[in-house]
Amino acid sequence: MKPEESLQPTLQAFFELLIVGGLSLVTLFWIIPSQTEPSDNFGLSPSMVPTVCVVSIAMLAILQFFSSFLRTEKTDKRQQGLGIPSAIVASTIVGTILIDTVGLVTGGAVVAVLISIVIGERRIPNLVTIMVSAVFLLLFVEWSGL
Amino acid sequence: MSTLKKSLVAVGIAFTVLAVSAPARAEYPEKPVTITVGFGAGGGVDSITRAASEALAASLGQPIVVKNKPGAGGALAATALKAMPNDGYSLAATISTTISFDPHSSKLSYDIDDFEYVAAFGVFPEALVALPSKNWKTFADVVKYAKESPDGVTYASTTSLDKVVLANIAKSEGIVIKPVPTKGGAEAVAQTLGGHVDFAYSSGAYYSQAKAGNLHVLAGLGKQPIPGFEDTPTLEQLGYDISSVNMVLYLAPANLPKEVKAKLVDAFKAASKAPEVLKLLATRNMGSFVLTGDDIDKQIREQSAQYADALK
Amino acid sequence: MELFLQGASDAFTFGAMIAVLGGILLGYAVGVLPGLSRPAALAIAVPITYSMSPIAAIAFLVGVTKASAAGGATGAILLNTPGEPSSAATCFDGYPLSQKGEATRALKVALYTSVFGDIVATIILIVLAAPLASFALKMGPVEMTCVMIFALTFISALSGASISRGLISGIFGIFLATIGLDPESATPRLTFGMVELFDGIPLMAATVGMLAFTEMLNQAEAFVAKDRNKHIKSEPTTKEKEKRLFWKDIRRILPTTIKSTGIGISAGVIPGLGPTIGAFLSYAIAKQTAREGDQFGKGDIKGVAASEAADNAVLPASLIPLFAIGLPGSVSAAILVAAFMLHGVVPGPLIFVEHPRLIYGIYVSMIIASIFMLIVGRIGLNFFAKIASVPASIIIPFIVLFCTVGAYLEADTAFSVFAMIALGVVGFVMQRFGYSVITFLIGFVVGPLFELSLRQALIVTNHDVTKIIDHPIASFFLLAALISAVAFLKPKKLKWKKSV
Repeated sequence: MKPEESLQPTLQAFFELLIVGGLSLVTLFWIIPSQTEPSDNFGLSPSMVPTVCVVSIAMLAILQFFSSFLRTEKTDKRQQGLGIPSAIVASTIVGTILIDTVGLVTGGAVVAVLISIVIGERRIPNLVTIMVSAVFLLLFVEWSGL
Repeated sequence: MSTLKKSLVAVGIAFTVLAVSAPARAEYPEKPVTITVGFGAGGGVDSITRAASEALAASLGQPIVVKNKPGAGGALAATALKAMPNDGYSLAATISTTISFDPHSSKLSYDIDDFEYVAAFGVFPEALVALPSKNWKTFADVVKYAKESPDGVTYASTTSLDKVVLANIAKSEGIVIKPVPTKGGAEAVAQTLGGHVDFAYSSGAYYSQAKAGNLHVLAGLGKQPIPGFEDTPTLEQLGYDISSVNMVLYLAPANLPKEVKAKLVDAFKAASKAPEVLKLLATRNMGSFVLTGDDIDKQIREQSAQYADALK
Repeated sequence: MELFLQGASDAFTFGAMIAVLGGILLGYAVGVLPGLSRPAALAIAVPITYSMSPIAAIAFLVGVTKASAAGGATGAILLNTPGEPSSAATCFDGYPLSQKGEATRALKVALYTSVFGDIVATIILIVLAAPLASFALKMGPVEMTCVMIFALTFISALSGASISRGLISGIFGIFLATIGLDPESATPRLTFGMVELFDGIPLMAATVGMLAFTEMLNQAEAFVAKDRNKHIKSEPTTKEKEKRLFWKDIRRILPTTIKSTGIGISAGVIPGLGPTIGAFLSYAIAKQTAREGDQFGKGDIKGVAASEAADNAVLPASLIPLFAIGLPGSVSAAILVAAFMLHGVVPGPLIFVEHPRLIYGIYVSMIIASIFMLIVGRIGLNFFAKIASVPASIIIPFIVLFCTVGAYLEADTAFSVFAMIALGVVGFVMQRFGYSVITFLIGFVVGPLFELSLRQALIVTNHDVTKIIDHPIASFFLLAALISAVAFLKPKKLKWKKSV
């Protein structure tokens, strides 16, 4: 193990606590009170279960923070990049807006083609094939009423 | 979208695009009329609407497209309808309490004045039911029993309307009636059959159990007796000044042109007499009660005022 | 008997057989493709049946439901992307098997155990509907609360490497599921004034977003990274090492399959639990009772069998309370109620008196459906197995397309697609930090049921916890939960210390 990596897990654990704990506090003191209405229920009040959830998450986050000192963890071996996933999310959002405004077939075809481009497909014939098959598929979906 | 397309195919129109972008029209209706059902496919509102759509199409001379937009007890469809043009091509099918009750009980972006009311079909046979082994004849016996039990009585509830109705009764009688929330009529009936609650409110799921003698009907909630249980009193007959008349309601955005509304009202009048509609209403024990035009408008407003009072 | 024969002959008519086959084919498609979910497909299929005869209509819908449960395993095994949330547990062992080059074997196990669970549960339905339905009625709020505590105790043992992170994801799922109208007072809760959220985050958006969309984001990232480093010779696509299923394999998985079928049947009979919880509970129990040499989580056919047999046993079993008392045991069964009503049949106590011929016809159609399912599944299997060798450059765009279109079609609004995308992003971030999306999903599915049952139980017992003594079934499950919790914690700690 390289020397700088021994520090990183601690820092990462701290950030994790900061994010999870911070979000919990915001939810607990601001979102839940403003987004639930008090009512004279016979069972539980509407804010009861959300509050219990958030409090337990916060407590578990603290536990997680301390337990991260006790053992070295295997970090996720998945890739660390963010660019590709963000591009896919963006393409899907564009496609959805098109589905909603123009139509299912157009929007759907755009989703398929944009994502192909995002993951590195640049050959025009392949892109056309993907677009055509997406269009046929969507026409079939519309026709069959599925 | 898919159901829309499917129905269109079924009536022989191949390209919706053409229909949607049709040139300016002379006389209503010039293109298919869309009815958005505020509940899922196969449910009561949906099947009655689909049964009526053929008769409607026949008298309007244009196909009827039935779409489903289930959610929030019809409120989602009503909210969407409010934003639609008031040209008579967009209608919604909900239940009457979606309009007369829900805006009072929860914050919604529409109220009763945002719509015109075209017609209402059938009445849900809403009732309070209990196990026969409880030996209660009518709801009056439940009240008597509740007065003697310190913890009050429990009942399986399915809507916020039934909670309001029973909370009002509890207040006027000085008793405790605790609603047990359920996911719907079937669960409410099962909780009662299993003896987990004292009685239940049910808008129709109880009917076959009551016919089989597994459940006893304590009271009807409507103004008319429940078909098949004519001897059972309604809450009004028991002396409570509250009723619930819930119907399948057809509405359009407010300020519909007069001649358009007249045409729609006529078409719904004709559809209400169609045999397939009557047959469906009979299967669901909803009677053959139909209100159209000004009559339904008046009733919806009356109900809305009544519920606004009850919620105060 | 005469009525039975009449019913059987109805089921063997050309129209009814075609309807079953059509349902099976549609169901398989829905099951295999992530993004198209079973309840959504059923809801959309109901209007198709308007013009059919009652027997054909119900046979068609039963076919859709059965086959989608069986087909759901395909994506789980080949792409780590379950077609249905109830097949998510199949990923645990199915995907590792496929990576080991045993995709066909895993698919075979999934198909055979699916059909086994399905047929056994159907026979149970036919033979034992009445007594089991009266058992379902005994499951009141107190009992349900304890059953769910029991199920969650087992399932939380699946939470993965870090228990606290696993629990955080699960509780986060419960939290997000509280969005919507409060079940008791019907006041909006955490909805930010959006009427679309009154019914909560759509289940389909959550499952598709968290399972399929998240996985595609990960795979796309991995795919592009591999593409960039082309000069480093990437490993060749895994060749099928072993396709055959041996007699000794069948003997090995048979006890698990039988046990899981039983768990699935119980989950079906108890109203509300449904196939997802049934499959996870079954997998968790199988894993907890693993024997020496079992490789759960690393590609053991037993794991596939446990999840699939239970998943498929749920539907026929959930028809038991439906036929006998009109109470649907799962979301799919609830849609079937609508279909019954549509065709003038009211499920409930009188159904056997009023429509005996129809019920017998449905029984026979259900058996026919199981057989068709086996045939269609077996033919499709070799074809499906090729999906594993389709390049990711084709798979990724199309699965994202299915996710988008499926979410859009379900409610006909862009809202559910955006919800699906948002949850996909949340799932992606969670996975990056090692939080399990699977436990999130369990929490999301169980949360509302648990909250509702708990509230009901508090009301009917008047907030008096000691009244649980009056409920023997509830006490039994609570005790079982306690014992198993203690049992899980002890040996697991030991094992864990050894492995660290």
